[in-house]
This record gives sequence, C-alpha cells and structure tokens, in this order.
Amino acid sequence: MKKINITHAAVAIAVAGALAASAALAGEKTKKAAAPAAAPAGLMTFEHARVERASPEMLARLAAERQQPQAAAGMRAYVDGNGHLRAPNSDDLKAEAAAAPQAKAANARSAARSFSAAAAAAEPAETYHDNGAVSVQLDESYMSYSVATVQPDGKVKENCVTGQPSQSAALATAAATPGVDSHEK
Amino acid sequence: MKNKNAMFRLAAATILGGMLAAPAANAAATIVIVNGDPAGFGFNDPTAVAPVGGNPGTTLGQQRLNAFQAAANKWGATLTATPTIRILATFEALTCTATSAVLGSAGATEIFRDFPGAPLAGHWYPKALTAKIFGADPDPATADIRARFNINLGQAGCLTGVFFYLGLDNNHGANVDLVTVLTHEFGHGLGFQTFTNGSTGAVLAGFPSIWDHYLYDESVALHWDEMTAPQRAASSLNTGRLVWTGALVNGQAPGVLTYGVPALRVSGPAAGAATGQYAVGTASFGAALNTTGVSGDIMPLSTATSGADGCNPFSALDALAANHNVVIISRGTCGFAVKAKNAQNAGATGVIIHNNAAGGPAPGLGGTDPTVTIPTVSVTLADGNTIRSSLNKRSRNKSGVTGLILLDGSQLAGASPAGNVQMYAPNPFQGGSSVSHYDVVAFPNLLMEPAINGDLTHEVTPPNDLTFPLLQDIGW
Repeated sequence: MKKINITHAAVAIAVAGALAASAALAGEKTKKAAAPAAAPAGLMTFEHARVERASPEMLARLAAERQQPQAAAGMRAYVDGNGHLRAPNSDDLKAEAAAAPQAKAANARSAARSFSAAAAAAEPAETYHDNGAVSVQLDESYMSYSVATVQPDGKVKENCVTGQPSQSAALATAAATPGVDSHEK
Repeated sequence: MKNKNAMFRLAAATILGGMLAAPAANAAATIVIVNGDPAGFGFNDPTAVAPVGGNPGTTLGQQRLNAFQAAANKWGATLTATPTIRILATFEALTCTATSAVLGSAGATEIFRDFPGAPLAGHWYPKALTAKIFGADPDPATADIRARFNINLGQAGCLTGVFFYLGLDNNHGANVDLVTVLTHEFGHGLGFQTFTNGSTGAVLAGFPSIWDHYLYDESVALHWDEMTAPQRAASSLNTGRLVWTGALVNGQAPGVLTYGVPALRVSGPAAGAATGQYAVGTASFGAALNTTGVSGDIMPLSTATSGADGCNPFSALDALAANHNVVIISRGTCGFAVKAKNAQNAGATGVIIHNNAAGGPAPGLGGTDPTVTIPTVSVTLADGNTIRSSLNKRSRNKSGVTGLILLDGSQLAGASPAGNVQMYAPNPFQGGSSVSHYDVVAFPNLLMEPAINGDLTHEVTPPNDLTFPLLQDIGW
C-alpha cells in the first residue's frame, strides 16, 4: 500500500500558476499552446486540442520502453490474399487465444514500465491519498480493442472481434491462413 | 481533513489557472496530445507528403499530429471539463505480419475511487473523469490516456499495402481511417470501459467500476456492481441480455437507432419448447429481410445425397421437404451461399443455418451469389439444436413447426425488447472487446462497437451516435 500526501502538489500548482502547473508536476517542459501564427506550416490549430512536446525526461523514459519487448496490445486488422481488410477467421481467434498466456506475461512486463515515475506493479497496486481517495495505475491489459474490417468486396461494413492481442507466433499462424473468411462456411 | 482541504485548494488553484489560460471563450474542454516520439520519428517524421483529405500537413509527422488533434478536438468540443486532458501518444513498431497487424492501442492510465465529490462511493472512475468531477488533475505526473500506434502499418510485412488514412474527411477507401480509430480509442480512455475482469468477473482491487453500476443483466435482473464474480462471468456471455441502464443512453437511443431487428419466430402445434423468437445473423446475399417476412414449416435435410450440410443439390426426398418450406442446415463444408442456392433450387422459401460450434451470437453469413433470392439467416448451435429437437414428428413435407424469418419492426436495432441498449457479450468471451462496447447488432453502426465500420461518421453525439450519452451517464 502506498500513501501519498498531495499537499505539496497543491502548493506547487498554486505557485506555478495556470499554464505551468500540470506540466511542472509532470516533470515535463511546459509549452504554451502554439499560437496560430507560430505554428509550423502544415500543422493545424484547433480550438479544443493542441500538441505539446514530451519533456526530455519523458522522452528518455519512452526511449527505454522502446527497448523492451512489446506487449502486442491494441486494435488489429487482417488482410486476405487480395490485400483487402477482412474479418479474423476462427483460426486467427484460436491462435490468439492460445497466445493469451504469452500476452499476459508480456503485459506484466510492460506494467513495470508504466506511465509515470510511480510505476505500477503486475498486480494492481493501490495508492491511498490523504483525502480518502484511492488510485491504481493501469497497465496495457486494461485497454480495449477493436478491429477495422473490410469485406472481400472491399467495403468496410462488417463487425468482427479480436481477442487479446497476441504475439508474433500467433500472428504468423494467422498469416498462414490467408484468404479464408470466417463467415464463408 | 487537512489534506482534503489541500486537495480542494489544488482544485481551486487549477480552476483559476484554467480560467486564466482558457484558450477560447466557448471551450468545453482542452485536450493536449503529448508528442512522445523522438526526433525524426513518428510524429516528427520529416518525410514530405502531399496534403490529403483536408489535412494540410506537409510532412508525415505533421499529418499524424493533425489527425490526432482532429480526433482530440472532437472530444474537446463535446466534453465539459476544467482540467486539461492529456494524451501521451507515440508511434511504435507494434507486432505485425504481412496479413495481420496491431494497429494501435489506447486507454486510461489510472483510476480513482472515493475522491472528494465522487458521485458514487466505492466505484472506480477513470482519471480524466475523476479530474472533471473533482475539478483538478489528481495526478499531474501521469497522462490521462496513453496511446500507441503502429509506425509500420502498410509497409511490406506489416499489413502490406493497408495504411492509416491521414485525411480528416473520412474518405479512407480501403485504408484504415485513423481519425475514426482514434476517436474510438480516446472514447475508451475517457471512460467507455469497465475495469472489472469480464472473463473471471473479478473486480479490480475489490471494487467495481462506475461502468458496472449501469451494466445490467436482464436475465438475473442485477447490475454488475450487485453481482458476485461468478455471476458477472456468466453475464459477460449473455448475448443480447447484457444491457446498459443509463437514462441518457436509453433516452436517446430511439433518435439514433432504427427500428427493425432480424429475427426468426418459431411457432406451430409441434413447436413445443422451441416456440419463441430467436436472434439471428444475417447474410450478405439473398433477399433483404422485411417486416412481413417469409415463412414455412421448418424442415431438416434427411438424406446423405444432399450432403448433411446441404452442399450438394438436394435429393428428391429433401427437395420434397424443402419445397415451400424453410430449411434448417448445419454450418460447414461449403459456403453459405451454396447451401442457400441448393435450398432455393429445391423450392425453399428461406434458409436457417445453425452454427456448428458452441457460442454466440449467431454469426453473419458472408458470400456472394446474385442468383440467390430467398432470405438466409443464422442461429447459434444451441438455438439450432432446440429447433431441431422439435422436428422429430414431421412428415415428408410438414413438421408442424413454423418458421417466420423477418425484420421485427417493434424493436430498436441494438436495444432489448425492454428498450435497454445492448452491450457486447459474445460467447466465448472476447478479451478486450466483450462488455466494454456496444453490441454489434446496433444499427446504424455505433462508434463504440468493437469494430470500426466503414459507414461511421466522426460524430460522437446523437442523432449520429450514442458514445457521448454513455459518458454522460457515468458522470461526464
């Protein structure tokens, strides 16, 4: 159990002021929202969104993460022999299910390289705050996944579902069965 | 109490700061894309590109940033929140082969419960929603959402030839529309997900998610935060009966979803326990279903000549059974359209194909044959067995069990008969997809179904979509 006192955070924010508060605590170099005139040509400006560069510290941490084996999380797509996006077939899903333990292990590894300095453990670790709040840092296994699919006729219209993300071996298995639409028979 | 006051001071300071830094008078929320890529890579890729689909970026990196901002801006214009929402985003070499690829991932980084002002005690809230309710970022050191996307998509060996479409106009053709995918994934990061393990039913660290307070199983008449873990695990497989009970979603559903659910109604003097209405999968070939429907006695194939799965031209006996009736056939061996064509040639009015493996929902039936003019639907193996069990006392051409294949115009496509919007609950469980999406039966398609459909707009609000009402239900 971790317990933190956020009084320092409150003071820091009050001092840092409006624009710098969050980024200062995040250890990230603060950049003001780019004014339209200063934006690089081609980079759009939006009323409700903007871009910031990650701090050098964050970039270093991310660079270290890139050196770790990737847990294959996220949306997945499949193509048939003609290069069209297709639905995953039963073999795909079986292969992914078989790879689930590997993915779980990979996710546990990835949890050790979490998003902030207070790294999450493989098992969710609660942080107790002085005001009664409790928090948990999440690893990639808590992300949701979906698949973009296009029918063999080239139209994107049919829904299909991936399982948990798989590893290279399972993807290779899926690749070995090209052109088979799970809805065909 | 002292520290509680400190948190309130934190909130007040940030709110004041937010006011001073407000980017626009009418801003609803501000979302920051934190570019985590190194120089020359991903968002910083200097490769020169031509503008595409309203994206004026002159480098590949700029176009990626513009697409991310466009998706974030949609949410920012929709949500209301004082604290800035931060999304740490990178492009990375994710797993892929020539025919299968991880496109990307995104999700909430942290969850909170029992914070000051929490609407419901003992329930987990995603970080961005916590910040919105609390009025300040409860952990400024951590981004609200983490997003990773595949740097190699479309390159040789990585879903070869299928790229992210970086235009902002949804004109993606055969490529993957990045803005749509991002809008979907950011939706999850904002709270469109449970943190409870749907497979085991185990809640996270002993507490349910705010999501679980609205997730309801119509079979047992319990919400997920009222269930035991085994009950939740069973509920996650309860196709069609796992629903959302949030008032805003269900109140808006009639303005978003259309009436008309594909169905099979079984009745007749011999139907017995098989009597009732069944959820069906539809076919990409044959006649479209209508509210009138087609009907006939449900008849199985009985001779090997026709092939147990209907893959051969029907024998004389099977043709006699099929003529003017609805044929029930098992999935397998040949294409669905082949079975349908053989049944049509024998005079059938419609075809029911039951799955040959356990689970649900009933699968969609792919295939193409423009000469097939009768409707074909699918049912689960369990439903197929139930129907078949009622056919034991049939004659050569009558079973006393009537099948009516139709579009049920009394029910919203994507809502239960009780009017609750259905959540995705296939059997077997689909990790990462089950429970935390709308059901795929919704029509028109919704952004937060487990797959990205080509007919989606970039909208997240009614009358186009039901994503924002759900987020409002949980506190946004």
